[in-house]
This record gives sequence, C-alpha cells and structure tokens, in this order.
Amino acid sequence: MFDRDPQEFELRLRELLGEPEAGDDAFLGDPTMLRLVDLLDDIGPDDALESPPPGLWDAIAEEAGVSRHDTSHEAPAEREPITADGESDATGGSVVPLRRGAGSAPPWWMGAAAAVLVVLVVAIGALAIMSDDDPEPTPLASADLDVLLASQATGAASLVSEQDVVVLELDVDGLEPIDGYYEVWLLTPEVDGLISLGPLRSDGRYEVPDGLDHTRFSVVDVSIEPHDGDPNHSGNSILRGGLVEL
Amino acid sequence: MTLLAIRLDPVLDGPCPRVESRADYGDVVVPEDELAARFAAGEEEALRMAYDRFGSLVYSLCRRGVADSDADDITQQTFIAAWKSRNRYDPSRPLGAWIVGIAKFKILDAQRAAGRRRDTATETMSVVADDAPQQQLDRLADRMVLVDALGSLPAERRTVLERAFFSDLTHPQIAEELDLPLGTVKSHIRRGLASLRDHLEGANV
Repeated sequence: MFDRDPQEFELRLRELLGEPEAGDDAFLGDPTMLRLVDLLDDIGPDDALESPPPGLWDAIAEEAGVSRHDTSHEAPAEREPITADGESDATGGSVVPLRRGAGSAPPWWMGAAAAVLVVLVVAIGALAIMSDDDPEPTPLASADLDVLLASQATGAASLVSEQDVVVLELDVDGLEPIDGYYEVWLLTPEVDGLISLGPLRSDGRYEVPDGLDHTRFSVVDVSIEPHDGDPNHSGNSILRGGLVEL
Repeated sequence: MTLLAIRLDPVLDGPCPRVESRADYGDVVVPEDELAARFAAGEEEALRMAYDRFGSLVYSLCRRGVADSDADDITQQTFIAAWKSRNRYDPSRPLGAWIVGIAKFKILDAQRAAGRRRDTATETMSVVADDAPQQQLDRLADRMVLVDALGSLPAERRTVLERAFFSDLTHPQIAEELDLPLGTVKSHIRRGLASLRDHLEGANV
C-alpha cells in the first residue's frame, strides 16, 4: 500500500496536527489517514484538474440521448474570479480596485503577496488589483473548480505604451519547473476571448498585438501548457489577474 | 508610459478558458446526495450536473491514464457507461467515487488494448499477469480524487490546509499569516484532514 515507511507518514501527520490534542490518536492510528498524507505529499502543480474540451458534453449528450442544452449554458459564470467590473471607466489617476465579489478576499495572499504589491505600488505610484479566488462558498460552486495546488507563484504585470507599441511587462516569481511550459495570455473578463502572447519569456516583455483593445482583453493569464502542439489554452491556469486603468 | 498595472494571483479555482462546456447553476446548489438520487432516478438534467461536477476529475484522470488522443473518448465512454448502468448505482454511495471507478475500468481496458497492439506489433506475448498498472492507476485516481476534494473544501479551510501541507508552516505561523485564531487553524486542519480522508475512503469502498 505504501511506497515508503508508514512511520514516516505518522511523523508527517504529527507535524501537521501540531500540538497534540485529545482525539488525535484516531488520526494517527488510521491507515487511511496515513495513506492520505502519503498521497498529499505527491500532489504538485501538474496535478491541477483540467477542464474537458468544449465539445465533449455535446457528444455525451447526443450518445446518451439527452438534451444538450439547458439554461445554464447561457448563464455567465457565476464564480468568475476576475471581477473587473464597470468601474474601470473611472477617470485616470485614481486608484480603481477590482471588486472583490461577495466575500472578502482570503487574507493569505495579502500576506504572501504584500511585498509584491508594495513594490508595485511604489514602482508605479498607483495600484490595483484584486481577484477573488473564491467568492462563492456554496458547495456546488466550489465543486467543479480547477484547483492548482502547492503553487507558490506570484506575479505582477503592467501594460506599458512605448512609442509605437504596447508592451505587457510581466514579472513572475515562484513558478516551478514543469513537464511542459508556461504561456502568457490576455483574456476577456468573461473568458469568451483569448489571445496568446506566447511562451513565458525570461525578459518578461510581451508585445501586445497592434490595435488590440486592452480594455476588453483586460485579464492577464499564465497557463501550464503541455508540449502537445495544440495551440489552444490548456484550461490549466496558474496565475491570473485583471488589468485596471491607472 | 504605464497604462495599466496588475498583480497576478494564483488561480486556485475558477473558470479557465476552455470551460464553456460547463454549466454554472448560479445560486442553485444541488447537494451531492440529491444529485446522486436524481442521477439514479434517471433525470436527464442529473447527467449534465454529474458531468459538470465530475467531468474535470474524470477527464484529468483519463489524460493521465491513456494517450492524449484517447482521453476525450474514454471520458465520454465513462459517462455513457455510468448513465446506461445507473439502475445498478446505489445512490447511498458517493456518485463521484462510482463514476471514477468506471473511469478506472475504462482506462485499464484502454491500456490493455494498447498493450495488446504493441505486443502484436512486436510479435511478443504477454504471459505474465501484471497488476502494477492497476496499482498505479489506483494511486493516480486517489491523488486526483484528493485534488478534487481539496477544491470542494470551504476556501478558508483549504487555504489553511495548503499552507500547513505545502508551505510547511507551523500553526502559529499560519494563524499569523491568515490572521486567524490559533484554535481556528487547528480545527481547520483536523476537519480538513478528516474530510479528505472521507473522500479517499469513499473512493476505495
């Protein structure tokens, strides 16, 4: 059952549980719990769930003889984490934070990314981002989420106008080596349009296609792509944030 | 001149560009036991909901278990087989685990078929029964079930657990970083582990 010594997992589990509490023996003496620790140790960024390709449901519905369509198709994604809302038409110069959705953003990234944020604020004199990574606490809502685990990645981006070109400057940190490569995209907030800016580059500079409406393609996305020659987005995003007018 | 600036956050969840096949039921929350009952009863909408709920899990498993070109097909076969044999499904058991069980069966089948093709091509015979693929697949499926289960935890609990597990932070460090009482951190970790454990057990009944 175990690849390694069960005692190793018991130690790991003790670490996880911290200060012993009454009832911990039930955890420590449970083979399933030890197997859980073993399996969790193996989980990495490559294990993020992938969305099935768009046409697959239609094929299943057809073969099963059920209706392909339902009203939910037309419904916009309720959990859209990039909530670049209509406030982006605010006049320049002011700070225009993205709406955070129903709840407050989980505080963890504020700590994890505080340094990034401070640098960003100091560097450009205005700030602004926020994407809510889980505004909907309802069970179904969280059910079909794409989870990216164990990622310590952080990033910041700015769109810069230089003479004749517009350049996206992207600074990422903490991306782990993967079996595949990272690709940079601009998306619409509704995720109904996307433009590849190419594989992640060490210089962090991505020329934006001439004439592209960056107020429409206002979300920067970094994805994990397999070397499969498929030019489409893998559906496997690791970083994302909505651009806000300064 | 800087036009716009952002910070990027890790994508812990949320729709990705290829999710247009997914439905979003908005505020309609269908608990898993209700979904299970409706699926067993043959409600057409339940197939769609089961696909929405478990499609990514099954597809991700297939992507890792069979050749990429077969992943779509095996995912489709899995849901069709689940739908057609729904009268054999006991709705008191987790629907996801049942569907994942079917997916594992289909994946093993596809692996064996691919192996036979290879054998024929090289004119060799496989005479040794090999249960390693089954064990590898079981482990892979358990891992994907856990990734899925982590995604279904309440956000704060999941975050605490991820900090404890993947960042190796101590409870007081997590409490400080997340601005939570220490007792809450401890309780999230214990309840989170217990919940993941139940998912794992449900997948292996």
